[in-house]
Amino acid sequence: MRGLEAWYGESQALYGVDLDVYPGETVTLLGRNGVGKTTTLRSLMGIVRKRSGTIEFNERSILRLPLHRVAHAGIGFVPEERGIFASLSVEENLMLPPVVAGSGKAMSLDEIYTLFPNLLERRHSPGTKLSGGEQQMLAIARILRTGVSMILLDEPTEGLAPVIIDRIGEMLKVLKTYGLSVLLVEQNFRFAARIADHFYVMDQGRMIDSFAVTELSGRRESLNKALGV
Amino acid sequence: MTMIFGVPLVVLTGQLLIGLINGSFYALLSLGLAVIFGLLRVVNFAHGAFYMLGAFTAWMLGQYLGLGYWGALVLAPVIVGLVGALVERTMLRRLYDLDHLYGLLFTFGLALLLEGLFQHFFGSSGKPFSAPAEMKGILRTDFVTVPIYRGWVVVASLVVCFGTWALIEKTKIGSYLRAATEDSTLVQAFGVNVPLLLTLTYAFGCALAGIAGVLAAPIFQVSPTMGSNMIIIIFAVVVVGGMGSILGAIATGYLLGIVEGLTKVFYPEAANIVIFVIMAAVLMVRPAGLFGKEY
Ligand SMILES: Nc1ncnc2c1ncn2[C@@H]1O[C@H](COP(=O)(O)OP(=O)(O)O)[C@@H](O)[C@H]1O
Ligand SMILES: [Mg+2]
Repeated sequence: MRGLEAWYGESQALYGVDLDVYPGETVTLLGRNGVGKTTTLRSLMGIVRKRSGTIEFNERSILRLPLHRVAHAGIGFVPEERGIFASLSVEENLMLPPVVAGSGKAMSLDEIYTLFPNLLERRHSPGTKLSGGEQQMLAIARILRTGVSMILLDEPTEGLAPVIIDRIGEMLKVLKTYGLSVLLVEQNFRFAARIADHFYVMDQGRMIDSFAVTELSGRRESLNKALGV
Repeated sequence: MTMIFGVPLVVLTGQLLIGLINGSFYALLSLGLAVIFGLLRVVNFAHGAFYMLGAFTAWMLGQYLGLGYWGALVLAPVIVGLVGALVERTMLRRLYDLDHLYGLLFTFGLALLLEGLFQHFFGSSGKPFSAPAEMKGILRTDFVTVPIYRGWVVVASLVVCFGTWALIEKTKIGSYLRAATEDSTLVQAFGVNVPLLLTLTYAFGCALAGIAGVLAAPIFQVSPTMGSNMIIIIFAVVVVGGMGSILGAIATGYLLGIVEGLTKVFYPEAANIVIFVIMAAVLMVRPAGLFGKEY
């Protein structure tokens, strides 16, 4: 992603954002509330349409693709609000996103139920009757079923209890072994530190820092300042 | 003779049945409106015109191609659906990003256009369209006297209504529709071709109106204004039922048809306005309608 700018109506939300995610890498995007992290993911996915700049995925420009073609290029999206549908059962939610012909490995329904036994138990109840943690698992699981090679995760730990956060952390480590690329937006810095290979920091619609996990310890102080913690 | 509340049973069941037949059309038409509104957020004012188009297409298929009732019952709704798809693809979809009022105005204009065209080419008088020969008889029992064709209309409408319900609630494409009704952008981001889904949904809703039109043709005759007469009642039905729910649209359609039929027995003077009285009452007590969700 190079020089990405994005607008909501007349107001500009992103100013020349550069970002790289290499195959199999987990990249975390940090930043305070309202700096444009969600907008970055939504622009990459093509949900925010008013954009300029370059977005390439597997050496192919995806900026001009219609929204529904982007997933088929191999990118899966887990939104901040989780996007579980109330009028669909858990299993219908799980089966909703079409399987894409990407390079990633599509998990079968059986594999998913083995990994998430809770979902199997509740498969006939309405999706929104699940607990917050289960809904988050469902939101991630349904993307794993599609076989995309990259997954965009927007604050998966938001509002969840520590034990659930640990389980999601475990899950993301499993994804890594599958060779999936992950672009993770996270405010929970300690959670991100456990799984990310590379970090980006945003402020006011701009990318202000970028570093590998190995440089993390030396940056704690400046990071705390940038993140306002 | 058996009497109930001072009314002969046969008269009562007869009116109940007429109510049920009208209710069959109300249900089919408000169902299509609800499906279209649910996903497209367009109040399809052209729905009555598509109902008329269904009846006229059936009549023309018979007149010019010699096609019988059964052939027309299959083919006319398909043609109406194709016209609907064309309208959505070429015109309606340009309005989605604008205020919903534009969709309403556009479909209203389309209804006037279609009605005007048919009036111009075919005149205002009704064209007779006969029921298939095997359905011309009358079924008589102690409780009820039914022209067989009218019984068929009730059965056909029930089958189509609940078939549609099952299609939406029980199938994969139905799950796309339900999900897209909640959040179409997210469904599209998952890789579902939502623009195509919108076209299919509009076409399907129009085809439902087309089916109602063919079923109605032998009962009410075929005329350019049959749709605009019907659509006023249908909007009242939709206001009573609320736009939100598929089953609600079906149930309200039959219910109001029956209420209208019974009013004819017990207080005939009010039969033509009872639906509007109920509409006014519902608007006062529950503005979102009996089964409606607030939007
Ligand atoms: N749908 C929207 N319409 C208009 N402005 C928006 C919309 N969504 C976000 N914004 C604005 O864009 C900026 C970035 O928001 P967002 O990307 O959601 O931040 P973050 O995810 O980092 O908290 C904020 O100033 C926010 O107010
Ligand atoms: Mg956000």
